[in-house]
Amino acid sequence: MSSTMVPVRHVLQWGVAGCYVVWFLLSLAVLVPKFMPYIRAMDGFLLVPGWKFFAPNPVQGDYHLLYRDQLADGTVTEWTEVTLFQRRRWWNVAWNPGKRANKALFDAIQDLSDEARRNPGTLVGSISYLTLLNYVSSVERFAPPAFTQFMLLHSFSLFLEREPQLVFSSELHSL
Amino acid sequence: MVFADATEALMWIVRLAAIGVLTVSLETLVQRRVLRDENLMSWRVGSLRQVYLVRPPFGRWLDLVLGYPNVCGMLVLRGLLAAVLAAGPRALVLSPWCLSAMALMLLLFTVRNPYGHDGADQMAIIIFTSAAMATLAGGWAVKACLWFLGLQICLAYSTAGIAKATARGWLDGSYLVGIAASQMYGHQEAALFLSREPLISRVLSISIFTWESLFPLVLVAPRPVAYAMVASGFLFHLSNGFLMGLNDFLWLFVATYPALLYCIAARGF
Repeated sequence: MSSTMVPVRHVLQWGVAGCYVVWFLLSLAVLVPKFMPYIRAMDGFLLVPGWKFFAPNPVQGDYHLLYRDQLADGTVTEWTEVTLFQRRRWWNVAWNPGKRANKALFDAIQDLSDEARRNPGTLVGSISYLTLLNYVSSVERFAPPAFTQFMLLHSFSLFLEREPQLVFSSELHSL
Repeated sequence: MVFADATEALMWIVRLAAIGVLTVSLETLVQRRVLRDENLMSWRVGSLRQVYLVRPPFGRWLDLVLGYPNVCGMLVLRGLLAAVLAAGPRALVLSPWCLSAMALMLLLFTVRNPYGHDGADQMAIIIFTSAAMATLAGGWAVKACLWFLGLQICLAYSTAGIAKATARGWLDGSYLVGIAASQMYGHQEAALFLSREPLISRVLSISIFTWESLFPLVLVAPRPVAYAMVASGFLFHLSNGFLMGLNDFLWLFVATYPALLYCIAARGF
């Protein structure tokens, strides 16, 4: 190895170690509420992890996404649930292809709930709203609708004595 | 000593993580309709969240790579690379170019849409990005990478555990019942059992967050205790895989355990 390579290698090693230190410190700093918005704003690649799994207050039960349409003649259809969740099977410990769609729906709904509380004025243009509207708009129907709207419910599926609760209901959107 | 050689430990981390990435890539390809423009992980919608994602020339390049169906091609490539890293020769497993390519594809998939990702995806990015950096620099940077990963996994568990310990629902066990009762992460028989046995639910709940909170002690505990803690982590993820369907966590979190074993061997006591 040439004499110039050795210092370059040293610089590289120290640089990488320095990156690890900064990365770990950011992973700690993001846990502090006053630093979190700034770190998340810079972290487009989600390199700074969020490790609060199901904590402190996990979502209990399930969210449900429903839609209904207004047809060209003014008829309004019944609410229809978009069913995504697949029943757990024993082999899901090794192979669970359905979880990504489940998680995407869950994330979009969680995001919409948070957005509705924080910024109700800009909700309609938010990524979560557009994601859910885009999704329900593309669901196959028997008849093409003129307008559609979606609704989010929250339920405790296993304990049917509890009534589902309304989380959010959108406006009518033309298709 | 178990994983006392830093390079050996890193190789095992990459291999185990690659199995996780291979599994996730195949799962996503099987359910690739979720990536379509009209579905929940749409690039068309996801790209709207930041101007740089659509502004030329970077936006055009991203369109080419992340648009549907091209993103499926990237997932196929990622799966093939994961298979090579999982089972291939050492020279490829520790190649900074292979590891960088994997890290880049993982990062691009995360950028594509904000939804549908979980902690296992985050851990995959951390593993492959840090491993790529370490193998590029070589020398003691590999040891630094192992300490970084060991500290990250300790931070992951302790953050989750301490956050749970602050919530009444975790202290009284009711949150555990609620999660078990969900369709997404739940298990019907477990939920029914826990709802009928509140004391067991409470004990289990407290045990979970106590174990998580105390996990960083693995770095300072006597070796038999430390190894037992590492083994308990494997059982924790195995049970989560069965009960909650979190199969990717089993591979991608356990993939960091060789780093823990290295740290335990290297600490000198």
